[in-house]
Amino acid sequence: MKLLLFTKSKVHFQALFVFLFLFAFSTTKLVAQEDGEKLFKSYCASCHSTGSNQLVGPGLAGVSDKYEREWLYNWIKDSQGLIASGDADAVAIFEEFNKIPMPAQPVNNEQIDAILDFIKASEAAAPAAEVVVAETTSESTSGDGSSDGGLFVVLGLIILFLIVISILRGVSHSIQTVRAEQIGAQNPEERTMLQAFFDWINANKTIVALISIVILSFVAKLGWDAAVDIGIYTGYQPEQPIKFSHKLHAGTNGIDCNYCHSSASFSKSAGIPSPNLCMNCHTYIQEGPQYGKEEIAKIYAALDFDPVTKKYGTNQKPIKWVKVHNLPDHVYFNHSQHVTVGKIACQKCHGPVEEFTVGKQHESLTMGWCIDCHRETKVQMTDNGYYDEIHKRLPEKLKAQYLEDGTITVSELGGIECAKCHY
Amino acid sequence: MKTIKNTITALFTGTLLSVLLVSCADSQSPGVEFMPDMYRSSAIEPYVDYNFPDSATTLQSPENSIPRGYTPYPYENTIEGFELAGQNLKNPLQLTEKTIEEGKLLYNNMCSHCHGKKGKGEGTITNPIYGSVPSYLDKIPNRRGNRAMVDLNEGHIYHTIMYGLNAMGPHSSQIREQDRWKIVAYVQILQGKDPMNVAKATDVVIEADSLK
Repeated sequence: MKLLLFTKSKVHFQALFVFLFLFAFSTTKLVAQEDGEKLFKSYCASCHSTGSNQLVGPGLAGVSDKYEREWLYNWIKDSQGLIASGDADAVAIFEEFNKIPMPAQPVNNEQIDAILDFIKASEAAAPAAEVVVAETTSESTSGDGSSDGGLFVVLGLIILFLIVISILRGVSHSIQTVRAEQIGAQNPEERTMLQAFFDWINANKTIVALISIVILSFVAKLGWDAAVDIGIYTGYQPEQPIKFSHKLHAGTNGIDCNYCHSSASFSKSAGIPSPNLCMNCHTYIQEGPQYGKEEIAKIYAALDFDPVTKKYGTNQKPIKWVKVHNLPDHVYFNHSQHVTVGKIACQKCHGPVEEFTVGKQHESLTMGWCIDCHRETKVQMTDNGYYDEIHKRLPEKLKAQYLEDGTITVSELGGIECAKCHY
Repeated sequence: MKTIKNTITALFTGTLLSVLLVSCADSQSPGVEFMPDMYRSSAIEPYVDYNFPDSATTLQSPENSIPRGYTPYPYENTIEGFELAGQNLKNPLQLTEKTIEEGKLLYNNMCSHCHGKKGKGEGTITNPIYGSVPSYLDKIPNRRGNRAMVDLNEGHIYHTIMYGLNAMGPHSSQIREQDRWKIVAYVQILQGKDPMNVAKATDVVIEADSLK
């Protein structure tokens, strides 16, 4: 009995031991991987990816299988020394990646092991992630139905209506003929549809007058709206040569408007960024979430850039963006005055651009729209470098008069004078 | 009879015309333009297609022309150039609270989406390629010239803005010279330094020119 108890407790003890051992092992393994990720991020990630895509240096997927561990230790700790010693592999890599030297990394062998383990682990995780990306990209963006559909439906209905009426008239005419034969009367006179219509009009002049008034006012309203819209491009949303999405760049990725339209703060024009600016990121980001490589390849085509060797050719051609916001020449508008001096947010005139997939004109840009804003917008009176002199010269009497409501607006300082914008 | 007929004809053509006018409002076309000779500038304006032979609307400046107020940058995009810039380049601006404030604004506009508002690499870019931007406080000496991020001085930072480094592209075309120096000063603050309390040597820039 005693023996039995002992053996039983021994089994328990063994199980506990195995469990503890496994637990300890798994946690150390986990810690090593976390460390590897951290180490990778601080030492390697600014030049290497864990996948197969090349950044500054090669992608590191499968690097542990490709080279001996000992060779990797030497390379990472002192790549230049290895190249100088004439190692064939080292020289080959140096040549392949445009002779950009990899700085010697202050890491020890254990840390290198942790980094390599992390690279291996993320390789195993990569295929699953790719599937997710593929699924999200299959979303389509169509659904831009044309507005011509409604017009055709109405026309079709009118034609159908006329056909039905003519059939009914035919039936009614034959019935009348039959009835006339039955009672021996004269056959009813056959009239065309148009004649019948005019006869009906003659008989019901009041109704016709009312309908005419309704139709006339409707037509007048349509005509008026269309005429008022001449020269106003609200909603203008042309297709661009590259399907650039402000939503992705300014919205999801949070890039400030001024990063690409950098001249808005000091120039008349906000500027269309030249393709070299796209290449600040797209030298390395060669695939987008929506269209994959297709749209980014158009930048490369314009710059004659080879995404593999990262070299520019000479056959460069401009990208023909379509200008959306067109102010007429007879009005002067300056971006810097509004952005830097007035501190007006871009969205005030351009709408929530960070939500637009395709750029469009959000506001009407009419004179009334400008003036409305000039009447409401308050001028920053103190510490305004641009207007300091004007504010100083403003007579006290006028200042007091303007300040009756507590604020001085743009219009009070001449912001709605004709010659302010039209000269 | 005849007047009614005329009214009907007028109504019909009116409706048709209105329908035509309204159907012009599709998103691909800007719509009807009123008096183009007043709308279109006779002087050359930016971003207007003038049918130049290579279909460019902004032409490249003639070779060897330099912009107004241009200062030559004598350091090359090499490790030697980087080291020389680090040794010789000094911020020519008289730094005040205001310039630092402007530097902060510029930094938030031009840098923070990758480097983060606090300079710790916590930017908003979602692409994994820019997923691990180093912090300005990073003390690991594995950057160019075996320096740590925190040890880079004003010349190194300026040189990096000019030419870019590793996955960062060159930003000289979109940030003006003065603005670059304002950003450099703010980056130094994010490095935990105090650029305002460093003695200024304004003539060093000229010295750097004569080095070449």
